[in-house]
Amino acid sequence: MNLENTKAQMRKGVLEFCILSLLANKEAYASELIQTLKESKLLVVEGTIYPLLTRLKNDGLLSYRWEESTGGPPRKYYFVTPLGEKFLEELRKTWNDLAEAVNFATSSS
Amino acid sequence: MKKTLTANISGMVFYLDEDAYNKLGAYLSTLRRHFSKEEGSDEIVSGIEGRIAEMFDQKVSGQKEVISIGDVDEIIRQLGEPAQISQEEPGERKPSEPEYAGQTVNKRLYRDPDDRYIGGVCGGMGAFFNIDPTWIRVAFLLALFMSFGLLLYIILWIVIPMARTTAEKLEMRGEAPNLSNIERSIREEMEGVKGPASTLEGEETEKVYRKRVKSNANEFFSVLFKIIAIIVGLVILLVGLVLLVGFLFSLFGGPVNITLDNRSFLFNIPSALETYFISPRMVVFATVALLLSLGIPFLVLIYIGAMMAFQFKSSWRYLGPITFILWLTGLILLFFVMISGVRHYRAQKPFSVSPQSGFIKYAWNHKGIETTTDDQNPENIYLLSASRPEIAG
Repeated sequence: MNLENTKAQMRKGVLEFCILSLLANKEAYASELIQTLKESKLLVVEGTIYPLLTRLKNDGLLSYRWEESTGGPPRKYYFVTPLGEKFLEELRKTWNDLAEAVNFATSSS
Repeated sequence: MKKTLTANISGMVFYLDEDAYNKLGAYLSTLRRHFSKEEGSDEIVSGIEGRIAEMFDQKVSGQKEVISIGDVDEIIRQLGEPAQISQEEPGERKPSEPEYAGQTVNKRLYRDPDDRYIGGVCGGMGAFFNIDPTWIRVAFLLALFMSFGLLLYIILWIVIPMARTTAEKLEMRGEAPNLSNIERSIREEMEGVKGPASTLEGEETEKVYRKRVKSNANEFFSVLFKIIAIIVGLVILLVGLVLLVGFLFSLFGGPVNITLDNRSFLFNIPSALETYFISPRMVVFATVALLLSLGIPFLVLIYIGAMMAFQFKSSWRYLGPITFILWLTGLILLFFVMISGVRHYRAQKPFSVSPQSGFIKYAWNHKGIETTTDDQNPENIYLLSASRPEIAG
């Protein structure tokens, strides 16, 4: 159980970064994000994404517009705000630095 | 065949089996509670509901119109239970379970400001001894009548400090006053206050506090009245019982020996009635009539007493009307019996006077046949008259 916990901790750290990055690439519905994140194994349970999206939106990094969909209620279409873009840049730098550091620290040579 | 319930999920209509409906409802409630502390909790839950609607939509087709509990289970598995969500969610500093809960560390006796009618003495003692403060209040009320109660309460009020800070309140309940407990305690307080109207904290706590003190006072009086009702109810119950038993005895009990002017008689109501007022066959009716018209009120008394003492309300809606009709029947019967008695009384004529005892025997005019009570068997004589009448003529 401890291993699962640690893995979850690692994923937690990058989840917001990944969401912002995905949305910066392409605007999407929550369900589409879920699809991608599940494929990349970053998400175990779908419910996690909803509080995250709301938090990012409340912090001003994301926004959404309502899109009508055929045969269903209108859905939220999320996109990144300019503030979110700046935030994302910072996170990208941090991630790259982190990756270097970790690779360095864990290299067997 | 199963029962189906209709649900509106994010604006779309779905049919669910009853157990699926209940499980989904419970899941959504749990989610709502879990996110209640977050900003935009409504938004989060409605987003999840939207996802549920999408998933339901995929499950439903021409062949399968109803969501089953298996579907709901699968959806909950995909979306995740609140515990799983908080595991994955970054930014959740709060541990799922406070580590130091349950440890009774140095329980201290305080007065409880959140549970007070007068001074919070009983509330504090209740928290310290882990008893419902109501019992302590009852004890104090009884002690009040023994005059030392008031003094005792005042002394305790002065001596025991009021728990003002959250740390003190925790100590009062015996929980360790560490950071995570304090945080949890504050959150619980805010949630309790947030319930009725969640606006600005400062002014709201004052209004809600006043409302809470007033409702505490109402509770106090209602408890008091309940106790009074129980005592009065018991008294009424006893009175009703005594009356009923006495009444039944007088109707059906064995003849009672009554001494009057050196003569002793055997007396019971039906026989007295029979001898003096009505024909024998009417005795049955008379007994029934008396039973109904007098017995029922006594029964009603007993029932009301029991209702007050044991705190229950009749579940049978027709009990009242039926009782009333029976009683009315008794009265009507009584009425007829009396009319018949008057007629018969007029039909009597003195038959003979027994020389030894001075009793008057009457003849009954039953359908033209004259009958008398038997002179040979004195036991059959149930007269109560002690006068020696003159016979006219």
